[in-house]
Amino acid sequence: MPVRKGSEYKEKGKRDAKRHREKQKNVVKKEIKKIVSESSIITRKKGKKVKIPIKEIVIPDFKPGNRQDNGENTQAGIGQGKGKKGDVIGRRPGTGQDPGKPGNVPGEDYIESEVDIEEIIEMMLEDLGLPNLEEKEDVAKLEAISGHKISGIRRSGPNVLLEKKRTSKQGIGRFYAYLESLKDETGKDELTCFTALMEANGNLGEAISLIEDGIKPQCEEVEPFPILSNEDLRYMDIKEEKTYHSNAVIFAMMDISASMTTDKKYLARSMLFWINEFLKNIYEHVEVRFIVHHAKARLVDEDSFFKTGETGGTRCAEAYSLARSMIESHYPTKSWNVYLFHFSDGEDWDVEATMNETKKLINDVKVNMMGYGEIRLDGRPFSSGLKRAFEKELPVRSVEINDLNVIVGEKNHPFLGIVIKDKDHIFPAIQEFLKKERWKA
Amino acid sequence: MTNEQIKRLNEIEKEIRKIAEEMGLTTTETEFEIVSSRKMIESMAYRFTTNFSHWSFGRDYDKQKTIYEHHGAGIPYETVWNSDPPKAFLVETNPVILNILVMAHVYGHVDFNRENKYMRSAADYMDLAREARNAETRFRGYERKYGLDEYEQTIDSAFSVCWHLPPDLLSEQEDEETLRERLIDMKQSRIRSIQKREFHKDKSEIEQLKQEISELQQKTPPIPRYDILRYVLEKSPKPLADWQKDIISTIRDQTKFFEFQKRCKLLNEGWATYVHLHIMRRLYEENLISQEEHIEYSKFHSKVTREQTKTLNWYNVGLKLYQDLVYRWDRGMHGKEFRESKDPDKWVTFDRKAHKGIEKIFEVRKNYTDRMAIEEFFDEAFIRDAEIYLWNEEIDPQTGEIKQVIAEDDPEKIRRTLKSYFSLYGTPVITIEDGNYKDNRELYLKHEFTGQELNPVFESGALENLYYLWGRPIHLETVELERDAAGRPSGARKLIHSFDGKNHNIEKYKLEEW
Repeated sequence: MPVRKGSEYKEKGKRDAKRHREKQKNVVKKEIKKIVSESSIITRKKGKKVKIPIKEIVIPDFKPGNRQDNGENTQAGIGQGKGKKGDVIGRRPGTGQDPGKPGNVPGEDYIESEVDIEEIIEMMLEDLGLPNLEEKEDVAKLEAISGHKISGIRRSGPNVLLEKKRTSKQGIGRFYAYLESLKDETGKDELTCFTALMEANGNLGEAISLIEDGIKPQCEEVEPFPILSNEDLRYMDIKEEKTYHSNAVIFAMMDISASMTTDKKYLARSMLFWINEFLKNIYEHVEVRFIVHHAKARLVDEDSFFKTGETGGTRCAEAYSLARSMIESHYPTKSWNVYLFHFSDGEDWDVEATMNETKKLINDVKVNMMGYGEIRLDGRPFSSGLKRAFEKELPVRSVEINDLNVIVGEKNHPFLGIVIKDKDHIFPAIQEFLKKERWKA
Repeated sequence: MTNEQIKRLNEIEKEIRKIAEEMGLTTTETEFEIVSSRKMIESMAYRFTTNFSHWSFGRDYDKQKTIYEHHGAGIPYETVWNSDPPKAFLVETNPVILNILVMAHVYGHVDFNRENKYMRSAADYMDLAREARNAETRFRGYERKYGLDEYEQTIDSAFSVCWHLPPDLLSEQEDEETLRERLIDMKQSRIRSIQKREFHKDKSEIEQLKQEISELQQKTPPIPRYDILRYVLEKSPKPLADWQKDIISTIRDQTKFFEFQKRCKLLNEGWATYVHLHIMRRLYEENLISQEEHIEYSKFHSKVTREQTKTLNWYNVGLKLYQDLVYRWDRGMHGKEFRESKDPDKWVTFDRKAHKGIEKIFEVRKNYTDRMAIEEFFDEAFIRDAEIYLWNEEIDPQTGEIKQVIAEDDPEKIRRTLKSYFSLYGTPVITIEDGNYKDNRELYLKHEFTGQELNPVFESGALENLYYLWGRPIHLETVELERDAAGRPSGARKLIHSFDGKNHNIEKYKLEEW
């Protein structure tokens, strides 16, 4: 028969498709710096999906294309249908309409794709986490039930946990004990005693009276059955398995004073958005508190934090002091890992107060980390800049990492300051702030 | 699919083959394998029932599968391999009538592949399906032994340049040394014939020829060549490992096989559609398919042959071409007398009662390639009837959107574009000019500029990949257009794009003529 059923087959395409997706991911990884600095992500409406251009990987070959437009030329072709010159047969979004579209890389075509923020974070921050995270002593509040475990056998419990094997073993033991005592008591043969015991449903007293009434053996051999009394019941003992997390609280602080222009605030928000998303993602029990400040500081919720804009002067110490009182009242460092991230443009009316608060936070309160990002769009250092004060007042050293100006505190002085000058600094700065291994060893 | 249905398909298959033979088609025992839609999609992505492993096949599989399983579109129905015996897939979840249609369609391909001159010359490659299966096993070993990176890089690189084949696929069969000898022989016999002359023994002409011979002796390739992968295999200074050569030559063979098919795509699909139309009508007339089935079939048929706004539907245009040929040759609407009576009013009544239509289409399917058919039969009337136009994209200045707009509906201009497209089959012509450039075994390629620039981004990637195969600097000569404010070409520069393994370098020279 020329038409016949095909043989079973294994899906070969699956493995190669997976490999293609891996390659795509690697491309996204390379573009992560641009994706992270993309404004549409942090200003998106609620929901975890973001649209980013993902490339379908194609093999580059010599093919027609407009050199002037770097090959991104408009297409042309042959088609069929009714219509005359000038008729519009279709539309697609123009390349200029997507400001987040990464630049050209040889041999890669774009397709827009929806990606979970989680996925971006995964790709983005593989070896990152909270630096200096400690196991805190008092962790009672932080237990989480992660499952159940059989920890032993006990004599009471709910029916569902009846351990049948052990229970029946106990019951068979009781059967033989009763049988022996019946023989002893009545002097009758084993089969008569067994018949009585069976008839009496395992009740010893009743069996004795049955024998006394002259019961005759009705079977040829002894078939033991479990006789259960309450004391023979065996139950599984289970314990809840708990994992212990060291809780962490993050204070996200942002300067929203007049000197923080929209552009500066955008950078600060981007940084904090990603730090926030990232930490929420990897730590189940991380709490984030948001503080905005100008000359006064106040606690706000997440939404208003990313939206608020105000005017006025700047006192950073206000924010630090508010954070400190929150720590003392709600998040004692005995039980909590405490992280502070503060973003400002470096302008501060009372640098001395800010330095004092910083020192208190680090030396007295002993927070796990104090992160400071100074947004400087013009590239000009402020003469009264906070960063400069930190450099002078704290045991830190200044280093250049990845094109970033970073000031790092000693091991027992977990301070990290970074100067952020433009969008391109967002990703490397996050990498520096969240370097898990910093201050280790 | 139930056994009952399989039984019915077998009965109908017999009938289809009979009808095909009555039509005058060449048939042969053809294997129809009932498979899952996934298997079908997979074989389409891998180009054979199975093939070696590569991410690009996986990408295509993934994409097609998603379209089919999540959007319900792109229902896979037809693949046929020009192997011996021919083999085709039927999808088990497709309606029976669709599978019947596929069988009828496949017998059209079977005839075309056996009878068309051009496809017959691809017969050397008929074992490729089997070889693809063997390649799968061999290549798996390479991947394991030499690592995924090297494995993929070798395949990526070969895929990058594999479509650069000679314009005449049957040329460039001889190897470089044979070619060189033949060219030198020709020149030497020229010299001998000059020397035999009693008069006009032109010394300078002999000197010239001797000079050319000595150049031929040294030059590689002796004359410009088109087949890049073949040249790499013969001459790459890299040196390539045996397993890499195996990969490259397997990819070259497969590509060449598909190139044969590509060049007859319109005629082949049109023929199979013409044939299935006839066979399905007969099956209905003979009550082998019910009225409901016939209605269902008609829906599939019109879906398959539907006009597409942004691409040429081979099934549509191919079928129309054969139908047009039947109509015209039945009435004798061709030749001098017809051409001279170019009065549309007369066409309607023009009928020399020639009845040569069927004969004509059998001749076309036997002797033509797509390019030849377009050149000869795509006249104004046909292009207008088939509603073919050219479109391009314009940026909407208001929204920034890209609009796709009909750019040309003048049949003569469309004809010219179709002709030039089908003479290149979409791949720019690039020749190997020098394999020992700068006396340093560098590779010098030249793009034959016909008005279309090369995409510079892909060009860079392709040069990098070719470098991987050659191992020494690569140079590509091409042309860059200068444009005026409106984007129209106003001048041109010769451009030499070099890649030395690390850096791209581009030199530009103003061209006076272009």
